[in-house]
Amino acid sequence: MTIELDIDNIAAAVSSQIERGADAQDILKALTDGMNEVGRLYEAHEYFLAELVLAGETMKEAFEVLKPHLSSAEASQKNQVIAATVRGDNHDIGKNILITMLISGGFDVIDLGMDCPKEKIVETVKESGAKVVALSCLLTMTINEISEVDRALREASLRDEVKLIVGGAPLSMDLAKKLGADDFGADAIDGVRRIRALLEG
Amino acid sequence: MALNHEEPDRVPAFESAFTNNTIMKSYGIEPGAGIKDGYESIKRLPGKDRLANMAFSNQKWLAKGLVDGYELLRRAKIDIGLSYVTHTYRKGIEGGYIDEFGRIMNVDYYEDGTLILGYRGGYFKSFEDYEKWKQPSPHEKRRLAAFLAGKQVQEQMNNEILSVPAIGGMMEPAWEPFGIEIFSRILAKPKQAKKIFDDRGNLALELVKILGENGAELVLIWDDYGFKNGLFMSPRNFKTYVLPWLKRICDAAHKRNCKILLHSDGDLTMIFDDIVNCGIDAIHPIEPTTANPDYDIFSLAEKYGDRLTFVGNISPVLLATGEISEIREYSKKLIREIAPGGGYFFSSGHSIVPSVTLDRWEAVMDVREKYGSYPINVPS
Repeated sequence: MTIELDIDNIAAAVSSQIERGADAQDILKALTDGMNEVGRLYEAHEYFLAELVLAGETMKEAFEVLKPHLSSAEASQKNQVIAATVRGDNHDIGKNILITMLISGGFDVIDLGMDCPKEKIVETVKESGAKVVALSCLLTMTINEISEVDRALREASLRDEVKLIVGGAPLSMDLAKKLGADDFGADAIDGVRRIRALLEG
Repeated sequence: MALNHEEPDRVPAFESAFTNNTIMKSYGIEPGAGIKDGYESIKRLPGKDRLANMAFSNQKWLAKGLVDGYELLRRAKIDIGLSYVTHTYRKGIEGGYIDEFGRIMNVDYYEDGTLILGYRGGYFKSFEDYEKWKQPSPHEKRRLAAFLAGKQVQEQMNNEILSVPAIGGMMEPAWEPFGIEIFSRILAKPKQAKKIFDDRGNLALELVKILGENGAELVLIWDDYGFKNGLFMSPRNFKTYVLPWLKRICDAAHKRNCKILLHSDGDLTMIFDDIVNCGIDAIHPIEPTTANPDYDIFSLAEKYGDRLTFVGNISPVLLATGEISEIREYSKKLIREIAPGGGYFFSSGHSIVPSVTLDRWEAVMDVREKYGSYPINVPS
């Protein structure tokens, strides 16, 4: 149903499965597999941004029903990601798609929203112990905020504790590295792959 | 002449926006203190919405607001200035305003004081919200007021600047008032999607007719169809909801001796042929920072250059952070390879944003000054 983007019926379908005694983790796995297939269709240019976003919305509907039935074990810091759009930038489409895909992939995500100052990012790294910070940047005039975050993490003696990955229209791998990031995600799907690799590395 | 694929005296220059106080000051123009002060004072007034809406319908007030901007363009030798016929203010909110389409706009300031208008999100949370909204009409007084204000300032400047009206298209004014998450749900409901796209298409069509009948030679349509990695929606959806309107708009414009310049960011490879077949006369910018190396102004100009005028496309990232030598070489390449025979406007790959540095901007203009006269002769 995730693949078919059946947003109107997925919540009822998940409810029905739970009532029949299906294991919540099995349902989560089915949803995750669906989301991965959506990602494959997107990379194959059969699905486009609107379908990717709708898949994310479909997952949200499913999660609303499923979440209370999932294990309440504490989120492992190993799987925790902080996501934000940089200060001065109010775009969040890419960030939100990334977050949905990360959650469906078993990650715990702290969403700091748009126009996020570096101080808030540093504070959240300190408090959460998250190992990855994912920054979205869509405006050329805000790309230097990435360097600001890098510098602020260094000044707080946190830079070696965390990996910085960035994504967005004006960026490239070269530019990302020049700005102080460790990695660059070409899109949300690539971002999830790279975040997984950063955490496993 | 360039639009007719003839060679004028020099390669025309265009920028879709020039929001950079630092560069503005370098041309001896004090940045629009009036605009900033006007906005800051009006936002506190109890009757601000009525006042603002009256102002936007007043040709004299609008013309006054264009003078400094057009003077900047004249001094920078940019040939086209825009007048904003749509996307106007509807209602003030904390930190910005809601425009007539239902887009929530942020008002902010860059470190050098440049006023920045940025899209923040959609006002509509559902199709029902959209249906309750007073939809923009092509016949509102503000439309011709904006267009005629531009023409008035053009005349005051002895036609050194061509004032071109800019209007919203179908794609952006359809999804932005909802935000992409809510719009993706609407797109899954064909009747709702069709209603919204048809409303936007009809508005743009009627506006082009009105502008053409009032003497507009060229109309710019703002309408991002895509982004760095591709299209916002499937080619099938574009062919269903957007491109039929674009064709009707181009046909209506041409019947009225008017041409259409489409501004669209994004990698448009999958529908580029279809867009050209709608009859657009010019396209801006062929975004230089997409993830698709084949979406390239040089190869597109080679393939479509006899049918389409290209406007672009020095990367804004290059203009903010690139080596001067690289900027100069790319600018020369644009002129050398695309300008001969006409059908080309020199431009950035989006607009002159606050992060464009003065030295990089001067490098661009220097190249145009040295090599932009016809017949083109740019050494390799």
